[in-house]
Amino acid sequence: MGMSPVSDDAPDEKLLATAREEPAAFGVFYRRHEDRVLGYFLARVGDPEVAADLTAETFAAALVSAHRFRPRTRKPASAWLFGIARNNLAMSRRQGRVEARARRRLGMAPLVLTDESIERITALDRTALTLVDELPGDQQDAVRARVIDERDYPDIAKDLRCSEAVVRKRVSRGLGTLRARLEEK
Amino acid sequence: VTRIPQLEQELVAAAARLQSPRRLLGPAARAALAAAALVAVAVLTIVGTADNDGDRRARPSGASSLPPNPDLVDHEAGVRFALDGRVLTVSVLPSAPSKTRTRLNGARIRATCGKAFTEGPGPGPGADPRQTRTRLWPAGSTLVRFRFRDDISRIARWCRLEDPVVGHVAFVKFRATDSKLSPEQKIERTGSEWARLFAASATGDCRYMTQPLCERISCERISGPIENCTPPSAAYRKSFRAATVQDIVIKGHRAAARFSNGEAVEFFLPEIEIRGGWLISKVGGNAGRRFFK
Repeated sequence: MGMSPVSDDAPDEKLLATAREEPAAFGVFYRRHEDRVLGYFLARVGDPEVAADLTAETFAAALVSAHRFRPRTRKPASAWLFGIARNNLAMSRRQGRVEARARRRLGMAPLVLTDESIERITALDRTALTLVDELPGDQQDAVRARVIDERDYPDIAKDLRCSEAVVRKRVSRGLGTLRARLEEK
Repeated sequence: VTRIPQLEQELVAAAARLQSPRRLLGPAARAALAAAALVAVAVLTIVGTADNDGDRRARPSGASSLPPNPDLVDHEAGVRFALDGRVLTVSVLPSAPSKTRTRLNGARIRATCGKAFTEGPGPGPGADPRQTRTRLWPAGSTLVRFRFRDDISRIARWCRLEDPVVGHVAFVKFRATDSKLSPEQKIERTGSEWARLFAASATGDCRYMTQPLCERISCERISGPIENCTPPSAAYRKSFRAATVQDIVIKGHRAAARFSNGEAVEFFLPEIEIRGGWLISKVGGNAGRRFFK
C-alpha cells in the first residue's frame, strides 16, 4: 500500500480528509491545534487533568467525524473543531463528568497523564495568563472581559464606560500583541 | 513534543484502526474480524460502563460537581486536602510553617487516602481499601494534585501526605474534624474559601454556591446563555481577593456574612450536607441587608 508522507504544512481540510487513509495526518492536525483546545478547556474548567480528558474526547470526536467534514469558505476546520469542543463541554456539564463516548467508540485507552504532561498543561495556562497580565491596562481589561469571560461587546462597553467600537479596538490590539508575543516565545 | 504525547499516539493508533478493513483484508480475514469485533464491542461495553463510575467529574462553570467529602485542613502542617472523585488536591496554606514547605519542595511526596485506620497490605479494594500515588512536588508550588487509580472519595476516612524517606508531612481525618466546627466556623470557612475562588476565577468556579447563583454569576445555564444577564465586574471580584469574614448572622437555615471589603453575602443550609453544609445563595445587590439591619 503506497502512502504519501504527510506534510506538516498541509491545510487542515486536507489533513481531515486523509485522516482515515493516512493516520499520521491526524497526528499533524492534533499537534497543530492541541494548545488552543487545551487552553480553551483549561480556561473553563481550571483543572489540567479534566482539561486533558475534554481535549482527548474532542479530538476523538473529530476523528470519528473527520470524513464528514466539508470545507466552507467562512468556516475553517478550527471553527468546526471548536464547535465540537463547545458541544463536548456542554454535554460534560450536563452529565457532571467528562463525556467519553467517542473514545470508547474508537477503543482508546483511558488517558493516564504523567507528571510532565500535567506540568506542561499547567504551564500553558500560566503562559497565556502571564501574557495577558503584561498587556496595557485598558487592553487587559477588554481582552479578559471578551476572551476569558466571553462577555458581549455592548456589556463590556457599559462596564468600561466607553463605546463598543473602542472595546473592539482594544480587544483587537490586545490579541494582536498576544499573538506576536506568543510567536516570539 | 506535544503537551500530551500519549494522546497523540492514541489518536494516530485509533485513526489507523479506522482504516477500512475491506481495503486491507481478504474475505476470510474480514469474517474473522467481524466475529472479533462483536466480542470487542461486548468487552468495550463492559469496560465503558465500569469506566463511567471511575471517571473524573467535569467541573466547568455552571456544573455542580461537589464531592461527598469536604475540604479538610491539617492546621499544624498548614495543608488543605480536597478529595474529588479520583483526584486529591493538596494545597499549602499561607499560614503553613516553613518546615512543611521545606519538606515538600522538590521532594517526591506520597499521598494516601484510606478507609480503615489500621495498616493494610497497600493499594487495592481489600479489607483495608486505600489509594496511593507518589508525585514530585515542584519547588515553590503551593498546590499539587494526586490522581489515584480508583475513586475512593465516597468511603475515604483519612488522607495522609508523606515523604517516603523522611516521613510524615500532613494528615486529616474526614467528617470527624468537620463535625466539630460550629455553624459560625463552617460559614466563616466556606465564606473565606469562596472569596478566594470568586476573586481568582474569571470563568466562575461554582464551588460553595447554589446552582441558581452560579448560573446568574456565569450568566449561563446548561440550556445556554442567560439573556440580559451581567456577570460581576472584574473589580468587584478582585475586591474579595484578601477579604475575610468579619460578621455572621444566622437565622435558621439562612445566614449572612459580611466581609472585610464591606460586601455581604447570604448563605443557605441545604438538607443534604455538602462541603461543610452552607452554600452561598446571594451575592451583590441587597444581599445580607435583612440580616444586618
